[in-house]
Amino acid sequence: MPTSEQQPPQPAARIIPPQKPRTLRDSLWTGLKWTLTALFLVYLIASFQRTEFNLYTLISGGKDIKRVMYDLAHPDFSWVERDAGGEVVLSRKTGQPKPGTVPVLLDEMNETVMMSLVGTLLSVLLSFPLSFLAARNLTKGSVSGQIAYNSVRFIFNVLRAFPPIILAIIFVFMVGPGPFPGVLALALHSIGMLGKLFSEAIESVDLAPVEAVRATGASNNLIVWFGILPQVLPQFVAFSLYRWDINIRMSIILGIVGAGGIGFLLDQYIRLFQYQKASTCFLIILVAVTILDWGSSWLRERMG
Amino acid sequence: MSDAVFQTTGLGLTYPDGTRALDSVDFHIRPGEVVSVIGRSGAGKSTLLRCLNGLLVPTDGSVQFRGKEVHSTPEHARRVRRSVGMIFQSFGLVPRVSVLNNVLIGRAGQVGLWRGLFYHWTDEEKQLALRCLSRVEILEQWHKRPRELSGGQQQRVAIARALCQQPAVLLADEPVSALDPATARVVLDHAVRICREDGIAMIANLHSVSLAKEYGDRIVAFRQGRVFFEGLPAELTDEVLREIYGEHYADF
Repeated sequence: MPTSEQQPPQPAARIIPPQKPRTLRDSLWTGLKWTLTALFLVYLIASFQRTEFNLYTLISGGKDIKRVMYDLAHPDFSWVERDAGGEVVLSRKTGQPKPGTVPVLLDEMNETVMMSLVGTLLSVLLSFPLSFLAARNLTKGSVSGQIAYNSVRFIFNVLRAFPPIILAIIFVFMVGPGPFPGVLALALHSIGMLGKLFSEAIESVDLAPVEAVRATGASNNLIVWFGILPQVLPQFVAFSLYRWDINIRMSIILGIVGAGGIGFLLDQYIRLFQYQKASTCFLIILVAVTILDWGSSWLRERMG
Repeated sequence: MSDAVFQTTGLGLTYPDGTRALDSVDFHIRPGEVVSVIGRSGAGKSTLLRCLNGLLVPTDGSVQFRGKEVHSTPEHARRVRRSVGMIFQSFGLVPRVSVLNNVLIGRAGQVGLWRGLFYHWTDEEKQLALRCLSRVEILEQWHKRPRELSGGQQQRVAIARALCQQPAVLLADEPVSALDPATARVVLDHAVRICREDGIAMIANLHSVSLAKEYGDRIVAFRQGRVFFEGLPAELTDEVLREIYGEHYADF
């Protein structure tokens, strides 16, 4: 006997949601959205015009680059320098053969890596203590803390605002060309970057251990040391390694403005139309950056 | 109450947002006494503990530790904290630091800056820390990191850290709220037993009325920032509990 329970369920009534109220504010907002979209599109078109974007110029310029492409495809892998006749050039001082493109570039690449290492180390050492002063959670509540917070934040912002290349140009003027101005430029810019990252790591610590250490009657210095540092140290190491990674690539560019390293030679080769040597240069940079990238991500994985 | 370890008179605290967390609280605890503090969330229990050891500065009234005003200067509040151990609901162990070093951090108030910076502990300090760990029966875990331990084990490490201060008072802020009932008893057994053995006074904020009655010599109940009831566990009747927890109070 079919009972009422066994009957197929009735389809549920269609739900019509209540009308969303539409206020004057909503209408104004919609109008504003469309106006902004239109303005943005106009600006986008203007940008293409201003930057002289032209596919025809790009394609027709291809034939002029043939010679360059040929040289770039034939990198100079010489270990010793040879003259036009193919004879090995001997150094006038030592009587030994003069080093060719590969050993010269490897030596310069090494200088680039060393520059980035020193620059990164200096920035880590300086931004480490400063970052505690730039952490909101450690400085709020006292007038001197507020002053420290705001001034260190300001310093970090200023340092970050200067691109390293501009800093390098300034330092080349100050201390002359070579790797030293490059180191200074990298260090200064990285202080701003690392200081910001470090202080944000400090701001996101778990406060429970910090309160527990405070409850033991520890001084403020030891509260930071015992309660905060163990929490942020792995992040500090990871940020520093990442910064080193960035600085290696950055220091190649710095060479172009005379701040030492392989970038200096790369710039020279291009200016002198020695594209075979420039090609070797690109290859060495590519290999070095790839190896260091693997190395630093391997290290970071183990640190995290 | 001249022999009291802690004595508050007319204690009041208003948070910057205007919340009146404590209002004219007269509270005391004698040496070696175990006091359970109960009350609903927000009744002022945690605020009381933090006023006692100077982590929070009261807006009215006074807190005296062994007859001296805790909040006379920030330096004195810090000195008081050295003699007052504290454990927390969330344990507050420092991550990535070994259990033994976490216990030794209990000495942070006593060591100088340089010894602290290099984690340079004396042999006596290490022996003390190991003794504290063995008293809460967790000695064999000394080399582990906190996150390798269970919640109950972590709270025992926190008790060892507080004991490593060689305190006169142990403040326990909802020490077992994050633990299951069985583990809660293990942890409270350890804390109360050691306090009794060493004559340490203990103030425990508890959510469980039955635990509060069982472990406390005396019960203090808070309601809306005021002391609503004070007396022996036997005097805490169902009528009083209904007044504290509201009509829906059923024995828990």
